[in-house]
Amino acid sequence: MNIQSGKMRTADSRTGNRQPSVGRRAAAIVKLLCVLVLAGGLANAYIYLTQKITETDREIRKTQHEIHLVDRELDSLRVRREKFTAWPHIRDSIAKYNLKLHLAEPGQIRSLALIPPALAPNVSVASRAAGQGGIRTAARTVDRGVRQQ
Amino acid sequence: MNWLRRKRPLRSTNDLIRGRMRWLCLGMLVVAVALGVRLYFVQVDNHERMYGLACQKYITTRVSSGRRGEIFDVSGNLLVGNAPCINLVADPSLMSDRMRREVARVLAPLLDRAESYLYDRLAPTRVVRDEKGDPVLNEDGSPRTRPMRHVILVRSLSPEMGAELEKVARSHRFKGLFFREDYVRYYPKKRMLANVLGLTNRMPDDSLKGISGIERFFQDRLAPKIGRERYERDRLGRPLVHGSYEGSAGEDGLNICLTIDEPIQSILEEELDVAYEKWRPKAIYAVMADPATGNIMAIAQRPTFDPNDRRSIAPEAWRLRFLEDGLEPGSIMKPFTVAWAIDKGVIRPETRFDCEHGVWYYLGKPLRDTHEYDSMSVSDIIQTSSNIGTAKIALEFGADNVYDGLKHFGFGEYCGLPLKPETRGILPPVKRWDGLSVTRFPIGYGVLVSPVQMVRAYCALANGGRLPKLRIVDRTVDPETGEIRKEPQAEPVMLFRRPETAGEVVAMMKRVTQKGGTARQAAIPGFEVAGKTGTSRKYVKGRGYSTKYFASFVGFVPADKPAFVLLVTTDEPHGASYGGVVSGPVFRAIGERVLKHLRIEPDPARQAGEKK
Repeated sequence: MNIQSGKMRTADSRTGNRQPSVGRRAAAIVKLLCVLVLAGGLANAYIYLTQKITETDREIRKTQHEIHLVDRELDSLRVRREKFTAWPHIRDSIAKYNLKLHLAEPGQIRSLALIPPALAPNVSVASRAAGQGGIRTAARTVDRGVRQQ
Repeated sequence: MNWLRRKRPLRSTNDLIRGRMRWLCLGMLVVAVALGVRLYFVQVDNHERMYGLACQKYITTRVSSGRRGEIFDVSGNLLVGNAPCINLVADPSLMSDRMRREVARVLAPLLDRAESYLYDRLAPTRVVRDEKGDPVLNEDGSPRTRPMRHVILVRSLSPEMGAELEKVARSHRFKGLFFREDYVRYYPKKRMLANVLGLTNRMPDDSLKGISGIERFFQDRLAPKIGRERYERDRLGRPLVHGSYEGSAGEDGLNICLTIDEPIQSILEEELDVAYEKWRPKAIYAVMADPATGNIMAIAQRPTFDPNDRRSIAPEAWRLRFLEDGLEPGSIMKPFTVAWAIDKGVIRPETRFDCEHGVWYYLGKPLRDTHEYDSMSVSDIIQTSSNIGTAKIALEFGADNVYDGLKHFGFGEYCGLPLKPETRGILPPVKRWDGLSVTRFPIGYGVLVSPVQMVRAYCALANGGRLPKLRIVDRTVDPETGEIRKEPQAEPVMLFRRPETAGEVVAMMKRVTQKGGTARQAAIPGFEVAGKTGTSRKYVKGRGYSTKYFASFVGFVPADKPAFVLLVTTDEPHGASYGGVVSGPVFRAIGERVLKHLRIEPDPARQAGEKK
């Protein structure tokens, strides 16, 4: 008589393919879903950020181009300003409009330093009195060599 | 026949699946191995070639250049700048013959060019020529041609004109026309300081190269740095955000600030124009310098040119006369020998010399004065500009000492201004002097001096005997960083042993513009002017001294604390020849206005005395 003392083992139990419980299966699915959601979220964030960076980069390029155009415009204006503030042009204009201008005597000229309000506290009283530290004054333009009439 | 009857062992479904899976795995393994091998060949074995191909496609190199540095005056007023412009460029290979004709027809009136000229420029091929300009032939005798993909139709269009043309091109749907942004060298002050500033030429690589003046001398500093950027690009050629990037963009050239003061330069040039019109000379030039620092405050010549209009450039206007030309200065040379003799203690201002009633024969050759003077003091000799008196002082002083003195004042030496070419004049060594040289060199004959040398020497007299080094460039500024680099300023060299020598010479020179002097017309009301006139005959090779003159006046004001030294030289004036008559009034006109500009007030006591 063949007496077996142990439990009867089925084929499944021998191979270890035991059916998991419903709870375990649900937990595994939840874990998997979490990982997928996390991975998807990360991928989404990466795509979103990359897209944003590309858009910002495009904006930067557009702004840079606008700055470049404005720079060229400024260069053009600066050259024109220099042309108009040159003495030959001023002299011709004086003659054209028949302005009775003459060169100021040294005692008649006073410098007025125009200091921007934000910078005013930083400029010493002495330099203010001496007419320094401010921007170029109108006096400088006036006395740039007007020929005595 | 048992084997026929032998049955195949029964296999379960699982066994079948296991078998298939093994085959599948084996297949996948083979594929994986094959891919691995292929990957090895692509990534390892052929890496360089493949990487090169990829780079060609995705990596591009952009060569960019900054802008050429600009030139300013001492206060930051722009003298040479870069004006934005548009170059009209065409790619004829993108155009049909019909379109080329249409482009030429439409653009010709707008560009003020002949239609045939534009059509020829738009030819899709061009004949290849050798160094001599002859066409290179093919084996069959036909001229060899090359395709044209880049033709500059018009350069330096104004931005407004460029925009208008672009609109026209778009409305006509022209293909192959491009509007490239560029900068053109622009001189907003036109003729002002043109000779000193110089010109640039466009080189084959499209860069600008200075060919004269400051533009040439400071080419290295003004030239922009070429930048090379290597980056991964997208389909439209834009750099990829996360792509590789190496290199750097081009950088602007350094800006240069001169010691020139634009308002003073304007005054000087305007008065030169007036004198040029009045005396109709061959040329007239003036140099003004600060005697304390050696800074050139203004410098100009007539004739000159407008650098914006190259057609106005004539050979006689092109030269830097005040630097290149040596002239026999005449009497403006006299104070130097006298000053050196006083400093050595050989003479005193009151030492008297016999001036031989206007004619003195030395070694059989006559030397004349303009008036018949009797015995005169050294001070009177300077005031009346006596040739005989100065020659006798030089004889008493000795040739070696005369040479030593003139050499110390910088004659025969380069001034060191950053401009080329420069003459150093002619002051031969004593061993090459003949018997007459000692009587002729001190009165400004037989020596050649450039106007700039003369100004430097007078700076020494005005500056208490300290000879400064002349400067015309004050500083360079890096436009990117704002970093300022000051040009070195050498300490003036003291020439005199006796501190009172300079004062004594200045006192003599003050009398030149006073009653009895040769340059009363150079006197400025309210100020003491120290100066000296010079009238020298021009030497014509092979024919001796002609009846043409250099008329000069050089002086400084206020005499005891000079604000500037100014030399005015008129070359071949018409209607008068004396320095005091021709150049003296120009000195006065310039001096009066410059003193007002510098806000130097006249002496009230002196003004009152002059009114009386």
